[in-house]
This record gives sequence, structure tokens and C-alpha cells, in this order.
Amino acid sequence: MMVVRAHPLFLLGGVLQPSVLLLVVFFARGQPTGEQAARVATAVLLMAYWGSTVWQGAAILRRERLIGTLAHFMRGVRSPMLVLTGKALGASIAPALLTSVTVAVMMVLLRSPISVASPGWFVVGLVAAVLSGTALGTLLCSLFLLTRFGGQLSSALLYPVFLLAGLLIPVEFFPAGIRWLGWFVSLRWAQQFLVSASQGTPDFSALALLGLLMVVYAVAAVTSFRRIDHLARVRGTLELG
Amino acid sequence: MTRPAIEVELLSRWFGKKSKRITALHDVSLAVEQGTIVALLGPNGAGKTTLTKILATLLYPSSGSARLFGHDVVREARTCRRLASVVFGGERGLYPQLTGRDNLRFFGMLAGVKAGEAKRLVPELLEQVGLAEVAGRRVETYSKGMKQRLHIAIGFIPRPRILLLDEPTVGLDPSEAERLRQAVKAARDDGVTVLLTSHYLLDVERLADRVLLLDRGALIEDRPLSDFVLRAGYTAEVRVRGLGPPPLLPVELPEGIDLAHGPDEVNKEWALTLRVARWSSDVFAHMSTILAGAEVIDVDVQQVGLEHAFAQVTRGDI
Ligand SMILES: Nc1ncnc2c1ncn2[C@@H]1O[C@H](COP(=O)(O)OP(=O)(O)OP(=O)(O)O)[C@@H](O)[C@H]1O
Ligand SMILES: [Mg+2]
Repeated sequence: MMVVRAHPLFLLGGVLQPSVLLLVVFFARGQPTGEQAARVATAVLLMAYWGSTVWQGAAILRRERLIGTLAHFMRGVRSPMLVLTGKALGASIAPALLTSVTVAVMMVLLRSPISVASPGWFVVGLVAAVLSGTALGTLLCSLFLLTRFGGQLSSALLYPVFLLAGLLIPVEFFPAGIRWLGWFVSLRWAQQFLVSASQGTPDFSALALLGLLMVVYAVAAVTSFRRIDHLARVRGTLELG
Repeated sequence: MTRPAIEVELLSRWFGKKSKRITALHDVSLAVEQGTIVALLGPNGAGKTTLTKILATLLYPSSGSARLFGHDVVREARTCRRLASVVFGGERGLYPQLTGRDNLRFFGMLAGVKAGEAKRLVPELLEQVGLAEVAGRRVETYSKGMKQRLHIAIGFIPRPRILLLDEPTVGLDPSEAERLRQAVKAARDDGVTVLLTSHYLLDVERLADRVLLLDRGALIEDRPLSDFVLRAGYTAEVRVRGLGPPPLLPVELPEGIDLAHGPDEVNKEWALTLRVARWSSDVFAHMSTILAGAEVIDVDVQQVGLEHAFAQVTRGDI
């Protein structure tokens, strides 16, 4: 969508960040082997994608509020929820592609090209990751608008989410008491499925959980969006117009 | 009988919890016929924006109801959104990093304008509001007035049957403000109904068919513009200046003429101000009698503006 324009930040998130992350991993750990390489590549891919787009998408409504366009948004003839989803999706597709290309190229340059044994399922996994990212983006969008600390919360939450998803350190390192939280982070299942698909043994329970979480996010997003509508129109606390 | 464009019945709106409840509107009832321009006046905090927002479906009423062409603004919000556009004054509400043209396109899309239609309407409207030349520039580089004009174009793009304008001439230079007034008039001539909030009484005088006056949430006046002006009690002030001795005024001035000021004398010059209740040929005759023998150097006639009427009504002089 035209509202999301090519931006220097976009290159930062889509090219620079994944490249640097990969270099760090390779220098620190040396040449990985088959599954390890797939793990690293998907972790970096997902982290870069989430950091640059899901979290950006989550800021959409807050930004609308900041610049005062929320009123147009809420009284459009088209469903605001639909427009929001469109925006979040539009914001994520191009960076997702860019990040994927970057990671693939880097893996080749680092002489560790990942061979994907089930390319069809791998693509399904990528699409599912983008869709669930979009659903989460819209959910966070509404949640961040509801709290005054949306901005702070958004930056404070990003890395814990990566940790819980097991992208930075394997989840086994966490105390069992909080490990279960990772179940609710769709990133975790996205990575699990992508890695399994690359190894030729697609893990369908991971895909199912990814899909299920996407639905949960979407339902929660609709609910919290209703709440925003309520706040705006009934309490009059959201600055509209 | 067709339904009025805007119908408001015992509409109230309050904010906050019981203990410190702010009443923004209290039992407001009104009806506006299609194709009229109604000015909504009132001091700051009177509830003008609140009423506009309720009609724009941005705020729910606390009690009472509002309908646009018979459609309830709460239950049939979507229909109402198609019927009415709202324009708020100010510099916010636009995407600063997009061009004016893209802003207009995007908001047109939100308002349900089809792509093909937008192709035709966007350049037309940009031309109409005088932004054609800067349409390719980012909005963050626009002046206040340009942003305001863009807001207006956005309000016009869905071809609404009702226009809700909340201080639309804020930030416009006099010629731009006049251009906007022409556009509003043209819309009215096309049958569009306009609810106009403005602190610029000139807007109201030039445009409005009818004047509504809100004060602390209550509708205290609702009458035709001409009637409202009459409330001031006179239609014009005539300021006369002369040289030499001032005219000797009779104790009792003729019917329909009052002395507002003077005569004051400064440096051999004198000045006085008369108020005329209603113009007629008698008024001129009376004036020449009053001024007979004096050396008049200047006569300045000022029609009574809405300012006078407004000031009197809100001061409670009536
Ligand atoms: N969201 C809100 N929460 C609490 N009070 C509000 C809210 N919106 C408006 N008010 C109050 O309602 C009253 C009417 O406000 P409104 O904005 O309608 O006035 P107005 O006539 O448009 O004034 P102005 O000429 O300054 O624009 C004011 O007392 C205002 O403080
Ligand atoms: Mg106002």
C-alpha cells in the first residue's frame, strides 16, 4: 500500500540486520552443519522480519493517533479492521521478501547454503509466518493504542519474545516456570516448521499450532479493536479529529 | 415531505464519571432542511465540536438521538458515514510523508470512493482548492493554509450530501477563506446541507441561512440569519465627522435613529455615531435635519455584523 514507502529503515531491517546477525553467528560458532544451518538461517530470518515489520506494523495505529488520522480511519466507509489488516500485510510482504533474499544470499556467501528438502512446505511455512505476523501485528497495534505506554512496551517486549520463541537461546535454558509462555509465540512454531521442512520431515503439529495461534491472535485483535472503538465513541477518550 | 437532512432530538452528551461529570450537550433538539447552510455558534467549550462529532459518528450520544436523512447515527453509522463528511480545522490529520495527492487518494479510498472515480476527482478537487501545483509535494512541506485546503478537498471527495465543517477557515488567508466560502456556497446550490462551526463571523454572515447558538451545551437560539442580526436592535451604525461647531442635536431624536456616541470634539473636529434601526428614505431626511448647518467631512456606514448580535446574545442583553 502506498502509505508504506521504501524507507532507509526498511533496508536496515531487511538487509543489514540479518547480515550482521548471520556474520555474528558464523564467527562465534564456526561453520554449522545441515540442521544447525537451517536453524540459524530461519532464526535470523524470523527475527529480522519480526523486528522490522511486525513491530513496525504494531505501531500503525499509534502513529495514526499521533498524526491525527485516527478519525478518518474510524469513520471510513470500509471496515477499519480490514484497512488495518491491509496496512499491516502491505507493510510486511516486501520486507519479508527482502529479508528472505538477504538470508539466502548470505548463506551462499558464507558457504553454507541451506538445502531445502521440502521446498513446497517451506514456502507454506513462510506464508504462514507472514500471515501470523500480520495477525499479531494488528493485535499489538490495538493493544499498544490502548495503553499510554505503547511505545515503551513495544521496545521492551521485542527481545523477551525472541527469547521465549527460542530464537536466541534454546528454550531448554529457561526455567520451566516460564517456558510455557513460548507456546503462545507463533515464531517458535514457525521456526520449528521451517527447520523441519528444510530437513524433509515437515512437522505438521508445529504448522497446526502456528495456524491456531494465528486464529487466536486474529480473534484477540478483533476484540481489542472493539474495545478501542468503545473507548473512542463511548468514553470519548481517544483523540479523534 | 422529505426527511430533514439533520434531525436531533433531546440529544445529550456527558463525559466522565458521575462525581465529576462534564455535560457537553444538554437536551439539544433541532432539524435542518436539505440544501441549507446552518451556522453553529457559541463560545469556547459550548459543545459545538461535540455535536459535530456525534453527527459524524465519531462519538455516541449519552441520551437522545440524531438522524441524517432519517438514518440513526448510532444504529446506521455506516450509512451515515456515506451521507456526511466531516472536516476539522487544524494542521493534524494528514500523512506528513505522503504527497497531497496521495493523501487525497488514500482518504478517498477510506471514504469509499472507487478507484476509477478517484482518478477523475482527485485532480479536479486539487485544482478546485488551488493545490494542483503542489500536489506532488509531501504534506510536511505544506503551509498551514495548504493543509487546511487539503482537508477540505478530503471532505469533498466522497461527494457527501451533508458537510460537517468544524472551523474550516482556520489558517486560511482572506482570499483563500473567500474561495472556501464560494465552494461551500456552490455545494449548497447542488443541494448539499452544511453545518458550519466557525469563530469567524464573516463566514457565518456570508454563508449561513440560519444560525444556531449553543451556550454551555444548551441550544439557546435557533433562527434565520436576518432575524439573528435584528436581535442586535439596529441594522447599521453611521459615523459622521465634521469641522467647526458640532450640530445641535434635538433632545428627542426622530423615530428609528439613536445616538450611540458623541458628539465628541477634538482639535476643531467633531464626530458622532448614530444607530439606524431600519433603512428607509425617512432616515436620510431625518439625518439631514439633524446635521443641518454643520460642516460634514466624512460619513461612514457600517452594517451591523453578527459580532454585535452575538455579543449581545451571549451577554444576555436580550
Ligand atoms: N473527551 C472529552 N472528555 C471530557 N470532556 C470533554 C471531552 N470532549 C469535550 N469535552 C468537554 O465538553 C465541553 C464541550 O466541548 P466542545 O469541544 O464540544 O466545545 P466547542 O464548542 O467545540 O469549543 P471550541 O470553540 O473551543 O472548539 C467542554 O467543556 C469540553 O471540555
Ligand atoms: Mg470546537
